[in-house]
Amino acid sequence: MQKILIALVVVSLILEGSITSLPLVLLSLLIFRIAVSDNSGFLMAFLSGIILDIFLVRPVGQSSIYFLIILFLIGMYEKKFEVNSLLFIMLATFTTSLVYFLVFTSPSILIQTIFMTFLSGFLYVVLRLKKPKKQASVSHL
Amino acid sequence: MRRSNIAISFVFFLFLSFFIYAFSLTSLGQSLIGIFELGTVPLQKTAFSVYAESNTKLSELQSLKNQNADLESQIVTYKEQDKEIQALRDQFATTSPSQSLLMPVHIIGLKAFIPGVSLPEQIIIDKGKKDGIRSSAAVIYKNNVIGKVVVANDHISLIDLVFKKGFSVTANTSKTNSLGISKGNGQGNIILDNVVLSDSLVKGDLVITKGSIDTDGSGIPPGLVIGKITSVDKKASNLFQTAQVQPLVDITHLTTLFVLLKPE
Repeated sequence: MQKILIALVVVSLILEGSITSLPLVLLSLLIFRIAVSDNSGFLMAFLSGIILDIFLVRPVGQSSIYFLIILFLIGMYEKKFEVNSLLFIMLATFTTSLVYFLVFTSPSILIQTIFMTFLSGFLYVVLRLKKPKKQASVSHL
Repeated sequence: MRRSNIAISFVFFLFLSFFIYAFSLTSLGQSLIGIFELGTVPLQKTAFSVYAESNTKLSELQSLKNQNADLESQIVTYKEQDKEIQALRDQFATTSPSQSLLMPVHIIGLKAFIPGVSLPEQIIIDKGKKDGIRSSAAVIYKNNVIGKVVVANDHISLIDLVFKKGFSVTANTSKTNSLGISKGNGQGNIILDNVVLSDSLVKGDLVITKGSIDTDGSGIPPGLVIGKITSVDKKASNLFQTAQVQPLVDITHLTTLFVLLKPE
């Protein structure tokens, strides 16, 4: 699964760097963080942010800073909320995309944000990120 | 324990990002980024050429694609070269601006919501400071102004298109010589604003740059076509009249453009 998610980040990088203004890298990093809840998410956020800034002729490092803060905030609320859920990924994508468009100035902000929200839901379902519930209590019986 | 590990990793990468951000603003940092750009430009160019090729509807080419996969790549390469040659021929056939000051560049990235459907407001080209491109240089196609360079890195540059919100240039109409300001309004729309009521604006008239050259010689020269007037809004109660302007060039179907270099 981790390899698929890394490939998703790479494809998103190429698409966002060449033909679209949608924050696909941000979305793929969100999915990566929710599916793989370890420190490798930070490394991915750092590297993809640096490459994205070079692609898009931005001051290098600003995307990394944004991605890292988002992933850290998700990590903070991991224990309090069920982050691996369709509702959470859609809400997180809506909020983070909206802020991303405001920070990195883009036209048609609301339409793009709504599109990203539905895309995140679609990817969540397609990639089947939801982990099966543990059967621990059943086995004890 | 795990929580502290996460915090350490986060702080480490955040600090590193801030350091790189600050370093990238220095001249040494810019040079280093330039080296990285040598690696990223071909990748971006390849990705964009795949998109540009699929965006160009060539039925003959597509039927050949189905017949032979090997032949496909050769035809794609040939067509790309042919388009480039045609663009060069068209450009150098025009008399204005001076041919010796033009540099052909390729689009390697565009920032559009849905590629091919919505219009981009900025594009990225495969040439930069090392090729002689400077900020505020005009980008043209034939005798149409496409935009201007806003950021020039060592090997790539960012272009603001004429219809980007915030883009403005003094302009006049070709038939009636009415003076105004051409302002980008997003999504391929341009407004010719600040035209006094006594002047005449005619539907179908061409809007041409009046010229906006900086003291260092860079900027948008006069006589370039911005677009055609599609509608006029004139009210006696208003101080000025305005007109909607439609660009003559569809940027989504172009791959080669020209940057007007500063004369030596």
